[in-house]
Amino acid sequence: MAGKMKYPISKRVARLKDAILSEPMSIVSDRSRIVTEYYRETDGEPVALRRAGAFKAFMEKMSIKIFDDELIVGGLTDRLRGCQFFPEYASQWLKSELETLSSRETEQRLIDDEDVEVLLEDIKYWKGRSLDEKAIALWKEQYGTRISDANEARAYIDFKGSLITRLHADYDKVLNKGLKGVIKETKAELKKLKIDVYEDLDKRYFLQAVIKSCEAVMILAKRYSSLAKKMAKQEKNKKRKKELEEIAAVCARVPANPAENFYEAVQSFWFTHLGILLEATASGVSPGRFDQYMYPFYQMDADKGITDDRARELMGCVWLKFIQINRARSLDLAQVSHGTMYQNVTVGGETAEGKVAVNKMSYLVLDVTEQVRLPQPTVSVRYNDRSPEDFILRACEVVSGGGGIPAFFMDKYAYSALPLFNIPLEDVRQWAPVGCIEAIIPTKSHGAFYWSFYSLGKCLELALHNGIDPQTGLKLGPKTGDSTKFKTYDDLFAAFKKQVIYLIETSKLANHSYHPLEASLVPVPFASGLLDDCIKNGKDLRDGGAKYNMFLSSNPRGHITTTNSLYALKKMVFDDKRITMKEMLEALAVNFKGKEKLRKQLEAIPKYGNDVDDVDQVASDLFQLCEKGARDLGPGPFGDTITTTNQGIGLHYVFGGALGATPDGRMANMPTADGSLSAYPGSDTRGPTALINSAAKIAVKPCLSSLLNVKIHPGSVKGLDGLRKLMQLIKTYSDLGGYLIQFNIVDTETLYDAKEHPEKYRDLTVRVAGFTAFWIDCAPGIQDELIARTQHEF
Amino acid sequence: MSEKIRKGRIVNIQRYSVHDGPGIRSTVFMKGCPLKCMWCSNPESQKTEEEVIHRNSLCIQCGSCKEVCETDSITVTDEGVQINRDTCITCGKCAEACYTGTLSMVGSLVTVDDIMDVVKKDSLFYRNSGGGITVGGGEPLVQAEFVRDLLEACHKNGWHTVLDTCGYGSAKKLKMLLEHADLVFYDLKHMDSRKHKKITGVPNGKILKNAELISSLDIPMYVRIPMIPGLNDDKTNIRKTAKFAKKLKNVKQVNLLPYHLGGLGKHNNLDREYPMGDLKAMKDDDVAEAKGIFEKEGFKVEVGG
Repeated sequence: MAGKMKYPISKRVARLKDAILSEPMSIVSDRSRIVTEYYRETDGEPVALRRAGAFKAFMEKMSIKIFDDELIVGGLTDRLRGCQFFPEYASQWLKSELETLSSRETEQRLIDDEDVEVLLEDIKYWKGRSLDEKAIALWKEQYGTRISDANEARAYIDFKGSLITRLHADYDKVLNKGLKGVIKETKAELKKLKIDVYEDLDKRYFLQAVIKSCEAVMILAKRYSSLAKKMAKQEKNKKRKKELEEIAAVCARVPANPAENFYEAVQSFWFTHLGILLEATASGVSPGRFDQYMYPFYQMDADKGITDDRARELMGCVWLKFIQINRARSLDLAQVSHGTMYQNVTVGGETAEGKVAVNKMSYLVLDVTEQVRLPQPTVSVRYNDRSPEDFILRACEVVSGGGGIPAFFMDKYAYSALPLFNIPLEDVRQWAPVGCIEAIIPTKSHGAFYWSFYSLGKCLELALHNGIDPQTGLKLGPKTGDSTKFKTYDDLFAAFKKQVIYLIETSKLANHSYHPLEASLVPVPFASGLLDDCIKNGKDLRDGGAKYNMFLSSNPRGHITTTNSLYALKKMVFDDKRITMKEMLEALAVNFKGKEKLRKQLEAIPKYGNDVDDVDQVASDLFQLCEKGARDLGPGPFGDTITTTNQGIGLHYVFGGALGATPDGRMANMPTADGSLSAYPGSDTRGPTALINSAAKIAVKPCLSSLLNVKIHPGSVKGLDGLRKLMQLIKTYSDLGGYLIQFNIVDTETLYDAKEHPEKYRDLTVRVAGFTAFWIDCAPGIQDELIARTQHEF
Repeated sequence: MSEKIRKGRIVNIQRYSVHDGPGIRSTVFMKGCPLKCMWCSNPESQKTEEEVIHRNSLCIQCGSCKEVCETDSITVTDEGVQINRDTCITCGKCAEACYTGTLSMVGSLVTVDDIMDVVKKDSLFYRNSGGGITVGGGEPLVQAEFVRDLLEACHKNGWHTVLDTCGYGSAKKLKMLLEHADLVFYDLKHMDSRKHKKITGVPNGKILKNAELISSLDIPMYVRIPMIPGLNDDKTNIRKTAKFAKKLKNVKQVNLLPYHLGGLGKHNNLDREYPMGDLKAMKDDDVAEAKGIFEKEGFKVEVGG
């Protein structure tokens, strides 16, 4: 399945890729054991110091390995695709899901018997102590079954303490000052503290924890240096021996010290990123503007004669590191994530001073992305009209090879939305998407992105059934009246609105309860030390230490399925009166069994994505309802405005799975439309310009994300002319005020074949929602849905 | 309002056409064509009148269409719908009753404004890509007055226009359309008039003359040659075609269109027999020799498009 490449992949990187993809993913007990041991012995230690202490113990004791061919070292485990278990966040699920871990529909994980033994012992300690259990207990005490019922019915989904932290750490700081520089900065802040001020004591613990966790990562690097040295001594192959010696030298210097060449910079970057991922079970930790902070180091070496091939090889080695990152997640989370880790690399855009930011490194990132072509890292291009045309065309060329990477984000949208959050222009210019797709300010924002996903489809079901979920019989919303008595569409919409607002509140109550719990149970001093202004404020990022706390924390899903359903009800029941509400409810209740004619009629009603104003207006109203509904509920825990995010992850699958048949003709339990502005699979029949026009009509602002997926046939992007047309679609979406457009350029025949012969398509990647995943990681339901998405070619 | 608003019959409007001229375009397919090319891939555009088509892959054999048919022209089988075209009066009742999308009417009567309402929606795409509107068919010359109005309206909006024509029509009508055509797609199907008549139903005299007319007006032209195995793809014909094209002063590009099976399903949809039988589709490589011949004459050649 190797696509075409402008620059051939180095043999080393190709071998490494093959080795990684051949390796099954597994869970090891290393971290759980070390951290649990540490916890057993340190009851009563201030939490920040306890976290840093446990982290340091882990860095000192974890098993490490350097693999053949590697130039960049460091992994989550001593396996190519192993992952650690983080019992502090959620632990008990492991016991009930142990049997099915290796055979479940997505994110299968192997686990050795001896590891099972250790983990089962560890989770005994964590029973009642893990974050998820604490949260659930708190909800029960405060709100009875309101939250757990919503979770059970999948009106809302609890992420079981699997943190989604959206941030771009200050890699630049580590590259230029080293972790020693961070420690120095922290010590200077420590000096300023008073010993007779209450808050300063917490600050002291926090700052000490920052220092300790920086030291921990430095220790890990030193251990890799020693290991490389030892391996070099035993290595017979002269070339490899030299490489190992070089690894030893690089790891002896970074990330403790400033990087002095490109190789050191790449390795220093990786240790920093890895440190954050080893500290917490976060996902969505994004490298951000990689081309900006790496370019000076490339330039430094380019002057001394580093070849582009060598630069691409080193970057290829680190790209393959990203793909090795994975997590041990419970099934319900796995169904949402489909193997992704949301590590987002951004290229292009503007500099803080307003200059065109595209540089040689931006092109190299695209080259490596094309060579490696894997779901992680996800690569984002910041588009604006000043971007060099050859750069955008090159990005189009890379995405035309399939895999949905890079995605195209519009500066124009971000520049008009971010200032609404009182962010000054020089910071706005530095913006980058984080995790999947949310616009935040790198190195300065904590994109608090919590457990507040709610199902709009469910809200409609509740409005149709007077607050009762017809699937579970649970009462999840207020009584909004017998829908068969509604006289007008406005009556229906008013009921729907009440259900939405109530569910936003339910999810807010749930997710906001996590903030204090996280701050008090699982602070992240290492990551915090790399985010402005945590050190200056003496506060962990989980405690509101960041310069910008951007509460991306109201997350509706199922916009388009709900839009189409509302419109179908409007047309069929209220405007044209072709059937009664009672008949509609009966048909939905039996999943259209024996009502195929009605279902076809419903399918034939205009759908979002075809540039039909009336339908698009319903979608626009829905976006505004969600956004305003969340904002009206008041600010987030640190006084910041709550923003609604409209993106993807695999929730269209999870929420769709718990949703009955819908009035748009969708059958029960099928996925809803993906993302937030993508059309329902197969329903956008007028081509991408119509779809783009529909998307652009939706009033998304002030939200900091929206997502439009377009599937295009490879034949439409053939040759320079074809790539230009793709670029022109992107430009026009930007002109029309869109935020993000991404493309799946793979023909349907290939996907059918891949479904039949998954073994042949181990490296086939597809854009699912705001992320790209391996085809083979997608559950069968998602695969079918990807096949069904309309393919545009004329 | 005494003046009657002129209407035209169209097959459909295709947005995001990326193979019908420069940039991103919308293509308006006119209904009615004086030619009956055996390989025609848009047979629903041949007749000037409105007609019913069926896409049997969508049919669920519910029989709703049969119930409403007043002339008893519909048979429903396991394969879907069949329409007896001799008795069908194209009243459209069956298409109205069909809720699966199997049956539909093709050939609605519209005004230029109706078309503009649709194509205007993509004007920014045209502007950003140097695209515009392509008028094809069917054959635009059949409804020349209407097409002239349409092209003129496009020019008023500043859009680039392509006229996609077989060239079989009066010089006067053609001239009228050329006033508002920025680029012409021109089909040359056979250089031997007798053979041309055999495979398209009409001789080629008018067509060749009109090509010369366009050349004399110096309007840029792409010559398009459907490559149909055994009908017109022999070396002699290709050489003659190249020579003729060489005489014209305005040919900017030659497009070789390898035979494909696009017309097969559509013939079925219209209950017509497919004249090409089970002839296999060509691959791009199959026209390499013809490509070489044109290139030797100095033409820029594209396969497909």
